[in-house]
Amino acid sequence: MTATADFPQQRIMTEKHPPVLEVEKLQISFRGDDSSTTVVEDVSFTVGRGEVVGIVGESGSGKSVTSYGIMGVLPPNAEVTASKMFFAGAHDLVRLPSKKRRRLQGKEISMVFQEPLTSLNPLMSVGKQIAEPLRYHEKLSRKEAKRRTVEALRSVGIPRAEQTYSSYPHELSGGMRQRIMIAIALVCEPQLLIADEPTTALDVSVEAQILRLMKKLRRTTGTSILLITHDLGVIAEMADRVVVMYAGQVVEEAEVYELFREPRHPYTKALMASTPKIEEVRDELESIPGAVPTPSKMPTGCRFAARCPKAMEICSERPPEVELGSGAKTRCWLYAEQETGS
Amino acid sequence: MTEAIEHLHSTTEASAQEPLITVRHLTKKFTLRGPRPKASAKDEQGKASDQAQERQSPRNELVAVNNISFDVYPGETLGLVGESGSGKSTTAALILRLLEATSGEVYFEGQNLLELPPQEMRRRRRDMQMVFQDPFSSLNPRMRVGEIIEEPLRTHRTLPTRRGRRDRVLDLMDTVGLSPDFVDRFPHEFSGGQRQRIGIARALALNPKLIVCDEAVSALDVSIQAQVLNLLKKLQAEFNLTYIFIGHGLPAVHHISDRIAVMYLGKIVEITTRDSLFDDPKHPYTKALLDSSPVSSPELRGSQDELLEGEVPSLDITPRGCPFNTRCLYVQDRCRSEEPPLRSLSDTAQAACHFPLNHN
Ligand SMILES: Nc1ncnc2c1ncn2[C@@H]1O[C@H](COP(=O)(O)OP(=O)(O)OP(=O)(O)O)[C@@H](O)[C@H]1O
Ligand SMILES: Nc1ncnc2c1ncn2[C@@H]1O[C@H](COP(=O)(O)OP(=O)(O)OP(=O)(O)O)[C@@H](O)[C@H]1O
Ligand SMILES: [Mg+2]
Ligand SMILES: [Mg+2]
Repeated sequence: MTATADFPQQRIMTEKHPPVLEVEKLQISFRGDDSSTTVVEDVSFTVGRGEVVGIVGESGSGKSVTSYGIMGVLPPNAEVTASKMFFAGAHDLVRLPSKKRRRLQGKEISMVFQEPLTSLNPLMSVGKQIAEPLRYHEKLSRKEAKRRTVEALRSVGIPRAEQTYSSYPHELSGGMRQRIMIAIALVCEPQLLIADEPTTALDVSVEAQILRLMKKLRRTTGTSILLITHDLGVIAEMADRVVVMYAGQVVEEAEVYELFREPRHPYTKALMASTPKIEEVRDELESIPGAVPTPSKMPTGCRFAARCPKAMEICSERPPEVELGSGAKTRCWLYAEQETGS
Repeated sequence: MTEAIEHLHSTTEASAQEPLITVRHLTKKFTLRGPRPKASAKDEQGKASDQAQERQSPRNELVAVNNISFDVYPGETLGLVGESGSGKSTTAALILRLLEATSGEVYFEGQNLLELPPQEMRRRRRDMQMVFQDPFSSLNPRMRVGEIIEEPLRTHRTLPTRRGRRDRVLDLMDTVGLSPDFVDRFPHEFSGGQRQRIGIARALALNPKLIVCDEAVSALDVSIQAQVLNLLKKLQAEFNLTYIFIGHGLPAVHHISDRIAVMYLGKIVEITTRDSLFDDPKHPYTKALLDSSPVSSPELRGSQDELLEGEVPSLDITPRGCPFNTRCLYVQDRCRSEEPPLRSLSDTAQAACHFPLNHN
């Protein structure tokens, strides 16, 4: 079977253009006083052009740290290594000198953080904050930058954009502030948008508006999106492909329909079974016994084994990352025999 | 209005029983200090600030809960949903009398709580407990777990001996699935789900009849949320507890509730059984709220079309007529002039709408 046969469109696209983001064996550690803890290990995935890749996992699984590593905004005590971390096939994000990185940030790659209030400058009007990257990256005149800013405010669904230009963050509601964050992130038409829990703090109504806005942007500008969330509903709504993280590792990756139809890794299955669904009436939800291991006490074998209903003896050894065809992968001994190769 | 309320009694399956709680015309107004916040930047559509439509409440006053009436039956879970600021937490606080109501009545087993002298109210409060969203900030960080759970037992002097209280604490920890080894630990040593269990154990200490869960699982990871929801259901079956469950995640509210009330701008716009709410919403706001919730599987993408546009109007300039008229897809002239009362539409459903969905 040729590669193009099972996934024609995507393969053709990626053959022509390199993916927007390629991450291979990313590892991130934090140096402490006398030791160092590794919180992200052996994380690999790619984001194709115009693709929405979702990263899902519970609190502490390393989603934010992974995205900060890509964005280059980790604190100084962080150590980042990767066998490969390329942006648009050309920029090595691990070794990028800081000057070049600044030129990428906010222009080619931009990020929406979870807390819009803490990441907006309270003393600057929101219009100026959107105009700033335009002045810096595109060297636009004040007037031209303002024109583009008002346009950006409109495109994210802000009414009376001209007036809102001179509003300060505290005068806006949470949903409006999150739209401003998205406007800042998108004003330079980046190739990649990293959105870390962009709707977690919002009402379902505002969440739906923001998700719809991101869908529209992808459709009209072709921006690729790396969407980080702990909510499988947001994944079901938005993602083309899904990366499931557990305790700092990727445990499963699959196309979104396939993942929901046939989750492979016992952790993914457990996550789905413990999520209540409106279409289903159940007496009891499945729950995962125990807790996520802490980074300092990571087991050497499978990190989920202690909580896994299918755990076997061999799970105390490091599980293989098994390729299952059609781009799906899982890090689990149960599938060790099924490797299709690629 | 009063007519509709009389219907409330005869409309649920549980109606053979007397309600545990009966809320009538409950209203809470807050007086705002300082200048009125600028509303102009907040409303999205521009419609709400159209002068012709506004009805300004008297200066610097905000009606957080506006003349609501409902019943809660023993052993059931009433879900309370609605966007941020719709008055859910205020309603809960009024029922428990943690806040004094501006007007209205709250009957608990037939007794009007709002008329009880403070001392009697304190005694009554044993029957009503609350579990909050943020398990960390609601637990005193300097107290050991055992002391936290024991505290209500001491304040209400239910068990005179230390030994008796200690046994009860260990018993409660066992009930909520906390190992007795943890009894002398501090809250920071626990995970979010464990802290929430501590909060639940404390709420159970005095054998309450009612527990109000205000966003009790909202901050938790799904797997831990599942544990806590399962625990709440188990305890309900075991002790015939009555819950008021406030949440913004619709799947969790769906999972745990028997009936659900939908709030908008301080009013109940629809109240009905869980299945009737999700399968056949009557109020356009309910429908839009359901459609706004993310789908549970990619196969269902695009099935939800009526997203809520715009944002909630500011509470101190609620629109004339139906409070939802500025965002409603089905708005008609009558909705802009006449406020629809909450009325019965079927055996189970009541909605405050002139033109309910699928209804003739
Ligand atoms: N600056 C830091 N120094 C040391 N450890 C850190 C630092 N930042 C994060 N960590 C640790 O890295 C791990 C992963 O954290 P991360 O914030 O990426 O999780 P997450 O998946 O984004 O979780 P959440 O859903 O809660 O946002 C956690 O164990 C966290 O405590
Ligand atoms: N002590 C107070 N003083 C003045 N206004 C108040 C006070 N408490 C609440 N409010 C206002 O009353 C309204 C209802 O608030 P409430 O907290 O009940 O909403 P909610 O539905 O619980 O929202 P959320 O989902 O955000 O918790 C809001 O506009 C709020 O700002
Ligand atoms: Mg995070
Ligand atoms: Mg609240």
